Amino acid sequence: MSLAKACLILVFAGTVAAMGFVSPAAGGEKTIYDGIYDPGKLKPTNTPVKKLNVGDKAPEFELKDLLGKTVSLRQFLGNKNVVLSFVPAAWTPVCSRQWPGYNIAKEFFDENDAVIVGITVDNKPTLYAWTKQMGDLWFPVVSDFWPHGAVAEKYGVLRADGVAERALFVIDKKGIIRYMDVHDINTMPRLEDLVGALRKLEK
Amino acid sequence: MRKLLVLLTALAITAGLCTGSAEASGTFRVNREILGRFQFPSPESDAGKKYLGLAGKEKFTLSQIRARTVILEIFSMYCPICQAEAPTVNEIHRLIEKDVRLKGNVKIVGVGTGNTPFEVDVFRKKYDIPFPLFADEKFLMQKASQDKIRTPTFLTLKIEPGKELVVQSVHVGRLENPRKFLDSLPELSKGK
Repeated sequence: MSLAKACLILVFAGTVAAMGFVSPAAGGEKTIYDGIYDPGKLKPTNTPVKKLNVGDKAPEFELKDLLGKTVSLRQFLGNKNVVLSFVPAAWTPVCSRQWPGYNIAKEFFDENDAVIVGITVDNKPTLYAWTKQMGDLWFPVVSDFWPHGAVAEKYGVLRADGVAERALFVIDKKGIIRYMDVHDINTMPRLEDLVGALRKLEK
Repeated sequence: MRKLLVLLTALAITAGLCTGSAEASGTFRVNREILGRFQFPSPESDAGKKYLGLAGKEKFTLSQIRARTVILEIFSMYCPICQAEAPTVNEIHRLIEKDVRLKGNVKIVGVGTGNTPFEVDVFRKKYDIPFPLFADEKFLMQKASQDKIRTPTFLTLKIEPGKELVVQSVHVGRLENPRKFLDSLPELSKGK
C-alpha cells in the first residue's frame, strides 16, 4: 500500500471516529427533535386586515383531514365547541410543539365539551410526515393548502408571506367566536389562557 | 513528502471540523457559575421539600439540595420526545429509590423550560412524575448554556462538600436505557 493510500484511509477513519465519538452524547435517531427549520425571529403578526372579532359568526369551512375524512365546522354545531388552531408551518420551531402540548391536555377539552382542529397551509404529505413525529394526535389535522390558505384568509389570519398566523379561535356550539388569540408567531400561546377561555363557555 | 503533509493536514482539519460541528449540534456547554446561581422556589408539597432536604427554605439553589449528585432534566411539556421519555425518567427515579447506594444521595429535579407552572403541572399529572418539577417560563436556563437548549437535556451535577456545583456529564436527547444511565453515575461507576 502506498503512503498516500494509507493516509487517505487514516483521513476516513479519523472522520468516522470523530463522528462516532460524538453520537452517543448527541443521541441516535429520534432521540432529539431533528429536522426543524428555524426561520429566526419573525414579525409577530403580519396580517393586513383584521376580519373577525369575538361575537362574530365563525366562517364555515370544509377541509380534508390526513385520513381523507371531511372536517367541517357545521358538523360540530349544536354538539361540540370547537378550537380551531392555526399554526404557521410544518417543521418550524414553535409549531412543532404546540400540538404535542394539546395532545397531552385532552382532559381540558373533554371537560369543556370541546374538540380541536389543527390547521396549516401545508400540503397533506408534508403535514402527514410532520405530525407522525408528534405521536398519535387525538384530534384531526386538516390541510388548507389549496386554494392556498383559503380558510386562513376567511378567518383573517393568512399572513402576507403566505403562511398562517399562530391563531386560536374558540367557537361555541352555536358557531359564534367566543375567544380569539392571534398570537405572536414566535411564541407559544399559554395553555392556561386557552383552558380559561374554554371554561368560560356555556355548559 | 509534500503529498504526505497535505494529507496529514487534511486529516487534522477533517477531524477538527467533525468534532466542532457535532459539539455545536449535540451538546450543552454549561456555565456552572450561572447554573449554580439560579434560584428555584421550594416545592409546595412537604414531600417535595423533604425529598430535596429544603426544610424552612422558600428558595433554593441546586447546590443546596441534600444530595451528592443531582440529575437535572431540562424538558418542555410541549416536547414530544420529553413526553415519550417521561416513563424512562420515572423508572430511573424508581431504581434510585430502591438502591441503597443511591437513595438519598442522588436526587432528580426537572425544569420545564419555557413552560408556565400550569403547563408543568399538566406534564406532572399526565405522567405521574414523582420528583419535583419547576417552571422556567422565561427560558432562564438558556443563560447557562452557550448552545441552544434542546429538550430533553440531562445534566448530572455533583455537589462537592464545599457546596460547589460540578457538571459531571451532559446528555442531550433520550436516555432510553435507565440502567445504563444509572451505571454511569459516580456513585455506581466508582471502583469499576
